Amino acid sequence: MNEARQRAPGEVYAHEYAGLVRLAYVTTGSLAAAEDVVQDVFADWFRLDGDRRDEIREPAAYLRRAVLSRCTSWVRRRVLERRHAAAPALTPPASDAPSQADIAAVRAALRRLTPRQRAAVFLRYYLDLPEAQVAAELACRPGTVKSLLHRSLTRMKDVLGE
Amino acid sequence: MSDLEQRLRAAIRAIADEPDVPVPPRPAVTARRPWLIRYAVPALAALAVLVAVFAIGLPPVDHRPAAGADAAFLPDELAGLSLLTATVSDAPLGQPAMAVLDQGNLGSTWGSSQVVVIAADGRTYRRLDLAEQRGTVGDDSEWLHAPTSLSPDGRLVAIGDRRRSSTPDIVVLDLVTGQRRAYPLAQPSTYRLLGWSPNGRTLAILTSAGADPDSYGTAPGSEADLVLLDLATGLFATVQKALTESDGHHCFTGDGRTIAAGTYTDQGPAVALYPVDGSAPRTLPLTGEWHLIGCAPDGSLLVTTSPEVDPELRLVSATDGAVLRDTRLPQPVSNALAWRSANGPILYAPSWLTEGGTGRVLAAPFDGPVTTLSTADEGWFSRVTVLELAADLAGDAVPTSAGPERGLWPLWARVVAGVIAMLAAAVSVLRRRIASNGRAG
Repeated sequence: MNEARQRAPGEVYAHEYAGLVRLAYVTTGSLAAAEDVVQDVFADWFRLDGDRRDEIREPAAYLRRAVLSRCTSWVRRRVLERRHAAAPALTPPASDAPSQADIAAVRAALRRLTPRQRAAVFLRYYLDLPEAQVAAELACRPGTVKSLLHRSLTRMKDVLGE
Repeated sequence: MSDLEQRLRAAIRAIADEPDVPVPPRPAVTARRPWLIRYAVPALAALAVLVAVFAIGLPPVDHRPAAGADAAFLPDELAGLSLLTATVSDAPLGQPAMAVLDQGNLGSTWGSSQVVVIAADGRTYRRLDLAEQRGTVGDDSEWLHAPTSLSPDGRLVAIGDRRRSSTPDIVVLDLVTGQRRAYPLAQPSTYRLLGWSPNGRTLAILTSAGADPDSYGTAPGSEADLVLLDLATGLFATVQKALTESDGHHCFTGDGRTIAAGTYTDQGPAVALYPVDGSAPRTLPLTGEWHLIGCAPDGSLLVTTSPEVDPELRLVSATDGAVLRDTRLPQPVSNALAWRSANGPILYAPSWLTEGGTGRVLAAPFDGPVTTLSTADEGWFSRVTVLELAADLAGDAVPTSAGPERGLWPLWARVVAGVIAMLAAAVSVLRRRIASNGRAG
């Protein structure tokens, strides 16, 4: 992670952008919202003056936390505005792409998870972060991560027929 | 790793990797103006308005102090928040409170989110300004009010502290008189209010060393001490040290001798039981998706299903977890607010558990039909996110449609009213002069 501190802002942007969009996509269920969120986060990050940006020891972790925070606000607002139910679509952006049975089942299960549960699942099973780090990224306690993952996996196991 | 987990991992990777994510050009950003320039104009304008109002000296608006009530009432419909509601600091309730609620929407810059107390007469509303002041801006840039805990008799409210102070304290506010007492913690620490003992003499908190709470409030870290605050002496007594944290529901059992905590083990959901005398705790496993939401007066535990499945309610034995009573619910509930009897919980069914539906306070006896005692619309100004009732009063509370009585207008409202009156008078004078000049010409 230390080498990340040395990276220029443009390099961090090029390297982290796609991964952050995928995190926001899984969390919000909307690719358009995910791109907006990540753009906003980077815009704020670029606005920081050089010294403040240099103080951020791990830009990737910092940016992930910022993205998750904005995703939370986005979903809360969507629920408040009643334009979306609590289960965003998470539809594949490439239409009619053939899905294997597992992918379809897990996609259905993800629809029924809360955004926070989705974020925990992404951090744990996509980025392979240990539970303690997932807790740090979600700004919660390790026990909460256990709870989030347990509930999420229970639901996904149900739909996979286990 | 099991085959199932490998399949899950592969499927999640496939879903997350589905979108084609081209990296757009770096966003163009402009440096922000210095804060002094950004805020100078609004600050000067606000100052001018204040000077104008104090210059004209507004007469006080007629304000009737809240009357006492022999019976306890609960509004049959919780009124939406209002910017014109007086604060407890300016106008104490003059009687115990029936309810404390977080109301409104994200943020509080324009008063769109408030902490409100409703008196036992069911019609007197006040803003709990101290809880709003002791809040902070969360990581999502939205304001988080300080957490509160209402005493069983409704007279006192404990107010937490989200301000990341190195010397935090718990403030206990007398809602009848407005007097407050601070209970400073001995060392820099964060804490979470858990609730009052049934006799109202003790407050339970989870606390951990260090003044760096997580972004969701003053929650303790991964390990926390379970501590009791004796309100009379101001002494803190540790019940259990270095607990594995738990963000589940906590409540005193009916006899006040044990604190039950909703928790999670590797095997699934459970209830941890901590005797307040410091003796050995024990864990009661729960099956499936059940979790703790209350403690019955007779010592049994109230559990419900997670919101994703059909809502059900159970009373289980705190001794061995045996199911004592079982019933279905019309909608998911978050927690027990009070009890009419050992078999008659009063429950909160928040709108956020029903995807935008109406929030309800339900009387849900195990041996009778579920009835609605109070509702909160899912409107912009009426949405209730957190609700507490005074446990000793709510069991006998009678629904009422009286009110709301909001007390003296806050200062800023009187200021605005004064400015509008001044402007109207000035316009009137100008028009008369113009008219008289016209006639003279």
